[in-house]
Amino acid sequence: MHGYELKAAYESDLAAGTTLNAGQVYQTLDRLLRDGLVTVRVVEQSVRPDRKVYTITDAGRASLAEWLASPDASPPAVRDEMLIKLLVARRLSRAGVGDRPPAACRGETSDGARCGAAGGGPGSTSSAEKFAGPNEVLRNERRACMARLHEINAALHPRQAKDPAGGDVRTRLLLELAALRLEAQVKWLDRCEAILRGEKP
Amino acid sequence: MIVQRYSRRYMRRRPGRTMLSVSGIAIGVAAIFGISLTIGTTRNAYQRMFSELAGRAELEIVASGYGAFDGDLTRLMANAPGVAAAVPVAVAAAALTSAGGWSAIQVLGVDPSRDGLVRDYRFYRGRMFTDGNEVVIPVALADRTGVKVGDALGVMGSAGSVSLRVSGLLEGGGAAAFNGGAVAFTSLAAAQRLNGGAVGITSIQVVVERDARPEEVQRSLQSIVPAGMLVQTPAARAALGEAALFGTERGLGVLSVVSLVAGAFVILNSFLMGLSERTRSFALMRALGMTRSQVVRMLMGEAALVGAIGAVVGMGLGMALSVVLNAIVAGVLGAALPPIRLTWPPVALSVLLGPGVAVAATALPARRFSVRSPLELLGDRRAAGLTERPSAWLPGAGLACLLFPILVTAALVWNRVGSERLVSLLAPAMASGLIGAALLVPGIFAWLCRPLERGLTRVAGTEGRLAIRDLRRHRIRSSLTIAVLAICVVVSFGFGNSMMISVDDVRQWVDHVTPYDYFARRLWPDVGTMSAPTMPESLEGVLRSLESVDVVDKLCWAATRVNGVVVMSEIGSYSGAGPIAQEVAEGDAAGLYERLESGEVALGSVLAKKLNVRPGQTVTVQTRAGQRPMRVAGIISSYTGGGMTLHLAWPVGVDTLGVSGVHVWMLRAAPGRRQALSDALRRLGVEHGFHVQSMEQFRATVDGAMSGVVAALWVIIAFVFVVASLGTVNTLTMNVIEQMRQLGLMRAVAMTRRQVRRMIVSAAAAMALTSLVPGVAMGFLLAFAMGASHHAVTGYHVDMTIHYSLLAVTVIGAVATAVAAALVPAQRAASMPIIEAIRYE
Amino acid sequence: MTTDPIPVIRGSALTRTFGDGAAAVTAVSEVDIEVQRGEFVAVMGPSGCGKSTLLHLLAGLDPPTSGRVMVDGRDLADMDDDTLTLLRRRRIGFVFQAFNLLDVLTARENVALPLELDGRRPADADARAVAVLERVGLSDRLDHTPRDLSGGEQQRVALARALVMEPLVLMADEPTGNLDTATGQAITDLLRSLVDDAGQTVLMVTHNPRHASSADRILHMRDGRLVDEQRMESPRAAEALIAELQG
Repeated sequence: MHGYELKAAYESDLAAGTTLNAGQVYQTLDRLLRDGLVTVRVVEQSVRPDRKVYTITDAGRASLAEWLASPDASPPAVRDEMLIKLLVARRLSRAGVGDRPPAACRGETSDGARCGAAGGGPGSTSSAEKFAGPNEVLRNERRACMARLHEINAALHPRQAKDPAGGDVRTRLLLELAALRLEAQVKWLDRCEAILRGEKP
Repeated sequence: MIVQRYSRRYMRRRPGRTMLSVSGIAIGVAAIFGISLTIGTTRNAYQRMFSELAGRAELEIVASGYGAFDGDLTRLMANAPGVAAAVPVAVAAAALTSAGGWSAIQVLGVDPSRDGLVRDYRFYRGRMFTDGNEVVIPVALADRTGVKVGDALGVMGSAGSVSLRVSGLLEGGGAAAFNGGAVAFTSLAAAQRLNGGAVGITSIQVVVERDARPEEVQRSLQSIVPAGMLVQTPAARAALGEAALFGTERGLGVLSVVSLVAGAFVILNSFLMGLSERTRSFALMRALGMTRSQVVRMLMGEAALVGAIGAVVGMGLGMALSVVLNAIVAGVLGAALPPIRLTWPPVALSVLLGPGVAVAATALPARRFSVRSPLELLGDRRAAGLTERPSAWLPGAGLACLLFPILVTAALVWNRVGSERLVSLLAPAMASGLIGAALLVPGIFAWLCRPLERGLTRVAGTEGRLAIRDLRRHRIRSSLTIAVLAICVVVSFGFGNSMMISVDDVRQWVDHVTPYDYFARRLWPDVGTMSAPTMPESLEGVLRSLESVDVVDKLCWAATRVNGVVVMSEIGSYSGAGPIAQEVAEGDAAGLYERLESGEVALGSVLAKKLNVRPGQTVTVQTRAGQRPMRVAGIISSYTGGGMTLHLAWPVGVDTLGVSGVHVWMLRAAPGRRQALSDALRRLGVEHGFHVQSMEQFRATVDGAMSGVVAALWVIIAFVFVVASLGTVNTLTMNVIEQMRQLGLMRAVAMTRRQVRRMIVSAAAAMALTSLVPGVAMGFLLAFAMGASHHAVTGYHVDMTIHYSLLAVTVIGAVATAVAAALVPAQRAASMPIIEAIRYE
Repeated sequence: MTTDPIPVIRGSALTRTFGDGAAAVTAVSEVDIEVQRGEFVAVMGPSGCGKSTLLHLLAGLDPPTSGRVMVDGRDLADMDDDTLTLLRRRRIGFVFQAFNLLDVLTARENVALPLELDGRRPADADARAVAVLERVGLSDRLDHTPRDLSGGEQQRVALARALVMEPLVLMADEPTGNLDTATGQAITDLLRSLVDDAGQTVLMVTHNPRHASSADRILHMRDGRLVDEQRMESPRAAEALIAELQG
């Protein structure tokens, strides 16, 4: 297989609709060569320039087998931006410049159920000089997650079901991954809410 | 459709519970059905006896005491307006003297040329008799006695033994059906000869003209017959037999009501179990849009179905019961009763009562259940906010219900109100009492919980305490089972005790009223008609001339009327220590017989009660010379004729009622000469045509009949206990199923199988012990009420004794039944796989 | 926000308190809610937040302590038990978490039951039940009893039973709570397609974010109160979504 073929295979199968930088491909191949995982052979061509054909070595085969067989159970990076946002919001709120605690939110609006529902975004907080508090951060993140989940559901089961995106296995795997991550995210947000609520102000 | 299917499938899935519900109703229906069938058959037998005798005749003319009268009256009647036909009949009570022994038979003397107007004669073989030496009998009787056309038939009448030639055999039905087929037809003259040469006939049977109304004809004929003659419907004669049955009917009636109440509790219990088990299903249906009335309708439908099946099963059981009862009643009455005949009234009653009681028992819980909200039923405890405690009004209502039987019993004891009406209140009062006792059970149980818990903990350890805890958790269910067990105790103890008192009383009566050694008789008369061939009075001289004899007394029975009521008159000569003085309930015992000889009468206690007559007052007696006022010398306690008796001294009876023969000779041997008297009597018996029965044999006969009664009582008690044990099985099984998970956990943690078993058996024992409190109390009340009603009916006092052996048997029986019943669920709980039990939902 | 003149369901200031005195617990507090015709609304919240109780109040299964419920413009407080029952029967289809089928009845009998309770002829009821069971994909399971059906199949039968009366609104109380992820998702998809294809109004209570996200509108409930409302926007084209997901 030569470099261009590798690039095409990656683009069609593993990440549809994206393009891979050619330099990146050759850089990687050079590293594999250096580690003795592939060998290279130059094939002369009459019309076009010569091209390099790479062949996997036994060591390379062993390395691939090991990679495929090893689990990837490590949690996603805990240095999550959302976590940082939440902690910042909490600090600001404790310092008196964040939004109101959730209890205050309940009674304030006249129609009860509409609390925070009207405009949605951070800009809608009543006191513009204050930053979004932890609750608002959580709410916004939850809304975003739900909206995304809604889209994923729609993609998996479109209303005019002529050809659901789920027909393509690769897309379906991707969508399920995203959906479950989002689901996990929402559950985490709920836990955050519960923990923050239990915290003495 | 689906709703019905749901009900049916549910019932099929719980066969044990369904069976229990069905058997609860079945036992009640069986008792009612069997008993009313027996009573109906017996009554019907008497009524039919006379209506079959009458054939197509709507009216008959009889002498007031059913004695003989001049046959010339027939012609007068035949020509009376509205009469289509009038035929003479002479009935002779006789015995068929075949090789196998003597059997009672009614010989009808008829006019062969005219009798066809009234009766159908369908010949199977042979022909009608042509003279007084020939006789026609039903083919069934001929088969039984091995007689063929042309053979001689030995018949013992009042005049002695006669031999008649069989000229024809009748097919069943029509004339042949009379007296259960124990009948023979011959000429008037032959029947009169059998009757001792009396020239008269015993009735004229009248067929009314087609367009005439029988009631009017009856009235117009009554105006032209001579004094002392009565025009009546043929069935009117049955009154005598019915009176004799009254006591038996009363006892059986109370018993059947008690059974029905027990059945109602059984079905209520299993119904409530079904409800609690299906709470979720009902909640769901309510949530799906089942209205309250649809819930009620569905539950009522289930109850009605169970009731209907119970009614059918009960009728089957009732048939069996009535066969047994029929045999017993026949034994007690000394009469041949026809086989049980299925009639409509008991069937209709059962068909109504089965589903009716089932629906009535379940109506209240079904209605209360239906108003509960679907959410509450779905097990949302918070929404429910309900307690499983029995309602607060129960004790009050229970006491109110108990008041009724207590008042009735008290009234019976003091006898302030008309007794017969009071006695008819006895059955409903007892039903009310049982319901009251059942309503009190939850309270009694709560009260007994602590001592029971302490006791059981001592005996069975922690398991005993756990058992009580289980019972308390399901107080209503436990209480209903206790109530059913309590009813068993009531039946067994209360009923048994009063029955045993009556039996003892009869035995005592036999002992002290008959200070004789031997009876000489052709046949004992049956209680219903008191007819039997008599012996000539002239035999007295022969008997007295025996050197081994000390006392010769005679008895004869004949029907008559006192103040218009048909009664049995007992005419006797009682020399010196005669029995009649022993039986005096009211009036002066000393000198009673002398006063009877001077023309006064004594009345049976039941009759005196009924007529409300006391010694010293006057009654009107129908004599052969018309109505005659007679002074009452005393009131007699007697089992004869159900107490509906008139007692006359021999010469007075001969004079007023015209009796001529003797039914029974009563003899006492001279000191040390019993054997000699026995031998002499047996020799005379062959010569003069009578049987000798010793006092011991007579007592054995009575004992036999009484044993039948006692045996039947035990059968019924056993029956009730079986149903109660089924109820116990079901309650405990239900507890086990509901606590499957818990039991599984206990087994998993620490409990051995033996401990599980012991826990469940302890629960059963606790229920049985609790049931003893209301059971024995109500049993006493019932025994008292029955005793008092005995007093109210017969007018004499029966000592109220408590048979402690019976009490002991009852206590042991109740506990043993419950414990035995617990073995099934105990085994089930002990043997279940632990893991499955823990998973059970 | 445009408001239909007559919402299918409208709850105003609904409060439900259990017990009294010191032990009183307020499960639902001052909730206002409206469901419009053809809408798919999900109520989300952790367990114990009062969402099931709210659904019970709206379905007329439980009376509110205060506030009022209007179904199709009619006030439930004015109804006696029979009228309320008829309303439940004809207007509201209810699906429980625990399937709640009658276990002695077959699938078609379970579904036909509400029709028969309503007095339809058994043959008609059966035909209709079969048709609805086909719609939920159970045409080959008609004569099975619940114990012979899988959890998902049982919930489909329950769904068919709720739909058979062609209710104004289908209320589902944690319909996926007893099911695994895939089966639960299939039930939610079925609900979605009922809304899309038949215009069915659906009000669902769930704590599962993914299942709730199928709805058009999501109400978040905390401690007996509605704290947030989110109206779903029309989804982008799938390609755009996928492109974004792939970064």
